[in-house]
Amino acid sequence: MTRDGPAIAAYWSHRAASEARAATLFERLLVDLRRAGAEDVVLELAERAIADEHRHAATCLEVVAHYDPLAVARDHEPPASPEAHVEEEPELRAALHTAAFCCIQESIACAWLDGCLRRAKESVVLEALHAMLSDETHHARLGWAHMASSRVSPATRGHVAAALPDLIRSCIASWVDPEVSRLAIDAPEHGVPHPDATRRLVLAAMDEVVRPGFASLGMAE
Amino acid sequence: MGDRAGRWFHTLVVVGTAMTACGGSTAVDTPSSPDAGRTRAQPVVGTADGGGADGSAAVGPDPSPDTDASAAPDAAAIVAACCGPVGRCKVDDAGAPVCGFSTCCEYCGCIQ
Repeated sequence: MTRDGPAIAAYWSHRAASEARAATLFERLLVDLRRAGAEDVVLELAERAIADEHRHAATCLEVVAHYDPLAVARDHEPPASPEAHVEEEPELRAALHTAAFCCIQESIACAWLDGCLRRAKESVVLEALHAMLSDETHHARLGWAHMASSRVSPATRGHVAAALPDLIRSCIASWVDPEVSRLAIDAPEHGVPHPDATRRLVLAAMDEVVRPGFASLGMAE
Repeated sequence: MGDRAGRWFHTLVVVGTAMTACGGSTAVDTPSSPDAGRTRAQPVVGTADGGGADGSAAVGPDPSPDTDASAAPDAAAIVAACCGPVGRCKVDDAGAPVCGFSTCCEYCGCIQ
């Protein structure tokens, strides 16, 4: 066991809270997608995503317990999520949230988890990262599937495209959050990448996956 | 990310947009993608070195945003065949990826 166990546990504890928060976000997104008349395949993926994220939170807590059993007793209440775009029509609100949560955040998450997976060595971490990556892929596809569907009107696509700079900026900020960076002690073998590595992976995913993805749908910034 | 970005573009964007095949424009690879120029409507069955089964390059026709009418069957086939990143490429009896991509792990996102 590493002497950095408590610090690694603290990082994974933060991730557990993030995963729990994601479950809440997907619950709200599912409501919006239903109101927007999203296609069945999209709704099915959203339903699955809720359960996935709850499971991820539990998985992260297992990693926490591995590194610091006492840390599990700490509070892991997910922080409140901001109510964004509440004033928008359901179709636009669903599209904006899908673009942010799925197309951007989950696509970044896949590339980031991939990077983490390649550097991890501890078996409990490898298993956790692999399990989460397998699911996050579907969550990102959910976003691209909805954005490409006929249930998102050209006008809505235009609104989303106009909002992309702000969405992308806020999403990047969440990945390089100083509070998160403070917890990252540079222990990639334990699934805790250095903040600089995270920044590189996030920006590369943005430039090589997210932006080309929107551009392929005619939604360039 | 280098060449891995192309894989994620396929795994997430190409496969994702193919799930609702009627939507939007044809998803065309970016220049940085490992099989740039191929549309999602045109999976290529080829060899492990990236070439086509007949020895041709593993690229499809020139992208045309107005030719998506024939995309649905192939796009659906990609989605149905893609195993996702679970570390188990689906292959046929000859060992070729059933998703139709030339090198499965480069394109479908399997995490080996």
